[in-house]
Amino acid sequence: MRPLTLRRLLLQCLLLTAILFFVVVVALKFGAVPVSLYALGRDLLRVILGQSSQISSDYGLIIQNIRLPRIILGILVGASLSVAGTSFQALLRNPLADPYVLGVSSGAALGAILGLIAEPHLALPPSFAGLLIPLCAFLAATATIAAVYFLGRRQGQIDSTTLLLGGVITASFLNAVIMFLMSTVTSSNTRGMAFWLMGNLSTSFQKGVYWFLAAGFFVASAIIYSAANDLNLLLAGEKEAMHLGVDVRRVQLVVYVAASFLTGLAVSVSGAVAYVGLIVPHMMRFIFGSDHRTLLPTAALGGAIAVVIADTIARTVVAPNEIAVGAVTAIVGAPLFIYLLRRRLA
Amino acid sequence: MSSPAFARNPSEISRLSNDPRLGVEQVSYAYSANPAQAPLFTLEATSFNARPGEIVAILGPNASGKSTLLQIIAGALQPLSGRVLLNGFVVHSLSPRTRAQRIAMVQQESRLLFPARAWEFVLQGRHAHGRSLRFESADDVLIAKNALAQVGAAALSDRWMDQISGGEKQRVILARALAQQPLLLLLDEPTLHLDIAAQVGLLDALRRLAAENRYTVAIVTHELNLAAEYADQVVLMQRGRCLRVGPPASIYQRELLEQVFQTPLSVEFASNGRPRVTVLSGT
Amino acid sequence: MTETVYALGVQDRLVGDTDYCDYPPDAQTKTKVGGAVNPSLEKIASLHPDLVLVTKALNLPETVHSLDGLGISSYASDPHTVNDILTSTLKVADLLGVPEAGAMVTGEMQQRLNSLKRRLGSFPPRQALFVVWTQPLISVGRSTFIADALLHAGAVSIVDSSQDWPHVSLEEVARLQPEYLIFADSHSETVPAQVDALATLPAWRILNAVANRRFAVISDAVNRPAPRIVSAIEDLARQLHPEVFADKPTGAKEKIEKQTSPEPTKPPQNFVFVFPSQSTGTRSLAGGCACAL
Repeated sequence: MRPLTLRRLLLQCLLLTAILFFVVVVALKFGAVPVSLYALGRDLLRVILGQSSQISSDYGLIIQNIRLPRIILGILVGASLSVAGTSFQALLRNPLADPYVLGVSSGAALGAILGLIAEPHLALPPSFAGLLIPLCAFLAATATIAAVYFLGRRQGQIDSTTLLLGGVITASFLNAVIMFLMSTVTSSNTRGMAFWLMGNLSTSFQKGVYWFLAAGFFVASAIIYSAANDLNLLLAGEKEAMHLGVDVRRVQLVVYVAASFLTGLAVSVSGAVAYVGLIVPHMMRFIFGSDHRTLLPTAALGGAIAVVIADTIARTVVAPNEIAVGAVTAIVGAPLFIYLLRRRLA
Repeated sequence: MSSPAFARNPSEISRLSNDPRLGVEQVSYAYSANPAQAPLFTLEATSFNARPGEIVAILGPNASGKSTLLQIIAGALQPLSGRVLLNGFVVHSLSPRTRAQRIAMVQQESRLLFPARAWEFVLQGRHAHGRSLRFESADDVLIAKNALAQVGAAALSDRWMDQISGGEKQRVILARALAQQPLLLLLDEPTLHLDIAAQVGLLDALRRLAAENRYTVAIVTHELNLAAEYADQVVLMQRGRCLRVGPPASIYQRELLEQVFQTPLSVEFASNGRPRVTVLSGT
Repeated sequence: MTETVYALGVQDRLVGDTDYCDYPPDAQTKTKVGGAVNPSLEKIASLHPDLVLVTKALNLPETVHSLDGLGISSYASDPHTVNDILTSTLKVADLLGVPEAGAMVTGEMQQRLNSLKRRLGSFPPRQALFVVWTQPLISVGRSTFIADALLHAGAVSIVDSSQDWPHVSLEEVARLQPEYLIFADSHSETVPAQVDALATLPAWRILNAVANRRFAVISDAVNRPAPRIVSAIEDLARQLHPEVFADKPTGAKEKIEKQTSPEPTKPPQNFVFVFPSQSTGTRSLAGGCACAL
């Protein structure tokens, strides 16, 4: 009998953080432009120590303004999607659940497309123009969250089966609308849209967006984590969880909103990156067990690692061109999922 | 409540002579899927009391409202009228967490989505006693260990839940309920999937635990003989109505039971004063 | 294609075009047969065309096959370079029975291109990035028509890809630091705002072309392989090499002036061209609007 202790949890997180750090260093090294890690490290140290305001080495500007923000985006998106996926799998008591199953990503995509169509007709101040698409996506995601919530209620509270049905139907409907719009929209727009829909981390944002993403991630994840033990009990069934002391109604609502918010955040800035929210929780469960007190933080770190690796591949394999990161996660994710599935059944 | 037909030793009598811990007062319930339609199922006003250390059997055929009554006692359903009191507190008005500290429910099968070990499962019973997010303390671990030992499942501690037999699983589920350190222990048809030996084993354990730890136990069952053998009190239900409340000896009358269970029976009394029912075949 | 037909002067024989054929304005008065990607075959058939004109880049082979099945001839053009347009225009003129008009039109085009080449003569071509889409960054490959048009305008695309619409790494662009960014936009007024917006983003700010607002707008006409392309190229050259054209008004926001100013265009659609018929003379021809995207 080895119950979970804080010490063991911290060790596991430390291990994953170390792996993440290593992956980030590798990601910084590889890309369309060559980087000397020594020079980079030296300059970063100078910046941190306040001796200079920016990286001065060759291509330092490129690293600082393009590659590093992109890596940070990958970390936040990967972590958000994984935490959301873990939460939905617990909430819906369904191992096939992923962050997109309840339609949030379809809503976000629709919002982005509508924003794209509207953009030429709006006169926006320059600093806001770059925010239009993600903002539209996020607002649409929020609307979808609310709509699915109301669809998913039964007798006034969330019922997991009804929620799943409501979400799937909403996703289908929104996808149909997206298809319709894409077939009537001008074709240069469609090209941009296609990359966005596949999940793509190459978008650049103003600094504030990254801060907002990080803040949103930490707040929402903290909220979900405070219900980690409740989620453990929820896995046995709503009734049983209640008999064991879980305020099922409150936990379901809180986790639903927080996890959907995380999904909306991630999808608004990167499109729908495939498979991360589905597979990373399963992998972490396989390695660390299904106790959510461990699973949630390890899934977050694991998701960050996965997306940074996938994005590094996406931007180096056909350099100087790129492929969408969603393509990489799908190519790797699908066989991995089949493998995990077979192991489970064996 | 006592009857000279029962052979009781003095210590048993003294343990039972406390004030009622559980008070079910005129509890009724109606359920309708559609507000416009008439209610599908009703539980008519039912009342009974139970003391610490007492085992109550809620007995009746299928669809007699037994499980509904149990859910109301557990606080999971709000009664249409009446109330359930546990040591003076109205059960339904307590928060789920407080309720879980006092009432433990043992249901039949526990569907686990992801595999868990028996000790993990039992530790879940400690959830209600700590802060929402915390790691189990040494005390918690001890209590869980004890709970497993008390049901004779200490050897199952490291086994995976999906790899043990039905009877073993039932014991682990009971251990989890015990880990909650409840005042009231509720069981819904616990013997349904068990063989005879397991059934007897479970009920023997329940009787012992109720006596040792002063639990109040309420079991929903349709097993006539088990109820007769182990219950101190029987609540006889039929189609949502509580027909009678009392010790087995006073409830187990042939005509009454035949009417409730719709089958010819014969009732005898064993040497320990407990009734024994035999089902008669043929017309 | 519709523009080509008009340029050749045989628009009277044009019985129909697609929804997006709007230049010259008169083309809008022709019977519409639907979109370029999926025109209404019934409509086309009802017009009894002898010939249908198509562009490979936009129309679907399925449409060609369907028209084939209906017994309607079509001609497909597939220009990858500016010279291809000249050849194609001559070919179309031949098919339509007006080779002299064709020779005249292409002759004028060639002359203007040669003159442009002379003027640009010794000046080094501008390193440019043609921006199809900003986020994600999509440019044009080396074998696209646009890449060739850039060469004629005194620029060279820094993107050397075999794909037609490659998704380019911003890092690479930042490393190469193109002198100019080139946009194709029908609303050239929105481009400055677009570039201003890009300047607020950390990843784009480090491009000198963005920081110094060195961008050019090429008319949407570049998407349509038609005689107007030459004007588009000239205008682009003017924006990229202001010193060469000091006698003409310069400015990055100049619209292309032609006989009539172009209407805001959506990507025009194409028509499938079936095998050329033997017609000469006054048989009415079905026109499609062939507008490349």
